[in-house]
Amino acid sequence: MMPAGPSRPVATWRDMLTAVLHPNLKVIAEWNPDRTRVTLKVPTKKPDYLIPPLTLIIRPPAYRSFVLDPVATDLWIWCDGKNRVEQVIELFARKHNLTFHESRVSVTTYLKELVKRGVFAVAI
Amino acid sequence: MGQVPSTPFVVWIWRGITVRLPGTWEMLQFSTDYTRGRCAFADRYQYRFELSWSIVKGEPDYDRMVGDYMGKLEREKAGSDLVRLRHAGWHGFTGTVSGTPTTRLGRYLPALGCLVEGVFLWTDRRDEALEHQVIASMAASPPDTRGHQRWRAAGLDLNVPGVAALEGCTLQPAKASFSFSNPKTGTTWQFERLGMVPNWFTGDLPAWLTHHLGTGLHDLRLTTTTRSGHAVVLAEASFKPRALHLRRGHLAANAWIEPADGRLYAVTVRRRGQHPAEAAAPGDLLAAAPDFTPRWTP
Repeated sequence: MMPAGPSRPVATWRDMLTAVLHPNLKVIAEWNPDRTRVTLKVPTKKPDYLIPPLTLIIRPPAYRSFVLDPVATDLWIWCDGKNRVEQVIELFARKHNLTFHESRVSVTTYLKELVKRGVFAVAI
Repeated sequence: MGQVPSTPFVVWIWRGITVRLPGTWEMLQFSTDYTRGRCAFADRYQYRFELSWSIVKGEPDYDRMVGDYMGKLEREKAGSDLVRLRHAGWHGFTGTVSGTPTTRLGRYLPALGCLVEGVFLWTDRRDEALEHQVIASMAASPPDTRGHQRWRAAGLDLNVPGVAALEGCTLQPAKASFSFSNPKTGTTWQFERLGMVPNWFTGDLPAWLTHHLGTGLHDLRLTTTTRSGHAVVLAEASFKPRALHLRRGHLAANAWIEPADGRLYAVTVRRRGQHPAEAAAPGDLLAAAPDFTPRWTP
């Protein structure tokens, strides 16, 4: 047999697929009039160094706004705290006629970015 | 939700090796190396199959090869319940390797001069029917009567001149591309398949192809024709290679949107001379393989 390298357990991403993404309850979603685009206002955390009297001079914004593109808008709708990541991936694949793994890579890349920006929280 | 798409089996051809795998298994890892390499396929939850090849001098002593490997696994306590297998010329074993039910079968394919191996990683227990079906499909895919080599992966069905060597491959979501070149003549072949077309395509295929081909072209001529009931844009042009001493070359390209899967296919050939082995028209080199795109059930 060809040398197969060190024996190791087979990689699986099942845990990731069963995770559920919950929208950050403090995020304010503002839709445009024809409901095609959404702007998310994510509350910002006051930096530790901002203490009086600095706060009298520097006033950080209360929110950071993100205008979602159509793909991220779909993810915002589908990640409702009920759908598992696997279901979101499948919805995305169906909509764009992709294979499961094409959709998985696209969706998880987007979701990582949105989690990093405080739009979603992950429950495993 | 949770239903698997209805794509029964898909034929993959990679580096001259044909294998027929369940349609839900996708290639997540691949090697472009000619002498030795490996491709790994996964279902939606885990890796399920590995295909590997290695150029060897001749048919190996299977008994010794398999015996040595099984002995190594047992010594390292990585394998248990290992049973020797011989199946239609394939030699290997089945058992539990690193906690995963595994079947490993290898065979020398004289047409390729390669030892080819298939490794099944079962989810709970061995599926003998599937194993036999896949192993029976594993064979060499020799060049056709024109001397063209066939590659079939990620929705692209390529018939590349035998003189072309694989230079690179990119498999990304909604983007698959292969590039080949003939180092002796400098001719290059570029194949692409793009998805999510409604999200970025403006509807003007000639304009897209012109932009796709880039600058540095002279006498670009675009024509639209109908093939199998859909529009195909053909492009011809001449180009001047960057190096001063090189003569002007000829470019030919085709692009179309395949109605069966909605993806945009493009093939570009940049010829640097009149070589009979490279004479095939772009339209003969690329076909869509929509069976790679799942039909999602409602």
